[in-house]
Amino acid sequence: MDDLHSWPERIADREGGYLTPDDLQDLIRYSLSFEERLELYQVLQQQELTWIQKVLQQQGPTPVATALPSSNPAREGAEPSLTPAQRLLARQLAFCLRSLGLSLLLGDPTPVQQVTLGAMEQYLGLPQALAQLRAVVQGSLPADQQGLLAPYWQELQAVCATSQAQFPSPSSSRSEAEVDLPTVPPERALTLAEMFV
Amino acid sequence: MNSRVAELMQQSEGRYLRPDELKTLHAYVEGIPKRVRLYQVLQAKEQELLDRVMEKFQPMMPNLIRQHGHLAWERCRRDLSMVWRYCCMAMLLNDEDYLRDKLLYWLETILKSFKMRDQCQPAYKLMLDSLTYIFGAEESEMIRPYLLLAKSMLVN
Repeated sequence: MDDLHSWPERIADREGGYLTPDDLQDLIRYSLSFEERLELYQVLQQQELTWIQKVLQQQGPTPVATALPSSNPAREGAEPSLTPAQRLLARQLAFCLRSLGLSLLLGDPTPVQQVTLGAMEQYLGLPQALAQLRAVVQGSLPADQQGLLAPYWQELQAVCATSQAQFPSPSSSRSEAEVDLPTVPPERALTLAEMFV
Repeated sequence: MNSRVAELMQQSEGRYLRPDELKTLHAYVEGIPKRVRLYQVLQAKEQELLDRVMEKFQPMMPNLIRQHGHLAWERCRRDLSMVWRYCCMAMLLNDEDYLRDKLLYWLETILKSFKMRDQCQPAYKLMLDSLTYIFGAEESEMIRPYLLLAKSMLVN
């Protein structure tokens, strides 16, 4: 299946006409692979915490359980034990993994294409952490599941590459999610009146 | 992807789908192979259906060209073809909203503004009546709700 075409786009392209035989074949293939996709989606859901924990451990030993947005109310409100930067990074990784899962499940790249990496994510080292996460995730899956997920990882990393071009990382060799405190105190913010004088 | 699935995609950003949402998605995806099969039949027999409708419709409207110009029948067939194709896509997507949003609200306004609703009415009735002559029971039953929706908005 050509996973890199979104279904809303394909349908919009054929508005007033018929879907092509290739589109219809892709649709059937998607439908037939749904059980497999669903199974993998559930693996992502179950393993998310473990995988993100591994990534953060590669960047320095830190507990991550309390950093992730959770569907488990028992974890909500627990005292975080990560630095704010690590907490943000863990959340961003979870967001990316969930977007990846949704793309996989829907057979549509739109969710991963909607991931945006701004200057903050670059500063946190998200692109590097995502590459680590991909290695951890793919290393934990059998070959057929790796293959199912691969197009979406490629799409996600393409999004990262585009973002990196827009927001170059402060240090290209940086691989840790440490946030350095600025050594020079910031300039005093202007008041509204000063801004317009 | 139909509008319910698109809605799911928007609403579930940043989280995993709940079991009830997965069930909705599963129900839609499960029906895809059958809908694709029917869609292909409906596509293949479009011309046959329109030939039959036009053949019966033309004698009912002897003054159409005088009233609307020499392209009137060509435009009539083009519009019926357009409605048919949107109905087929809506059937494939299992999505009446697609048909309403992409075609019917717009075409309804056009037909009203040109005061064509009464004149077009028999054509939609003929399309509905012709379904069982051209298609099998399954195809007819799957496309009928969309044609009825089109008829109710455009010419009733």
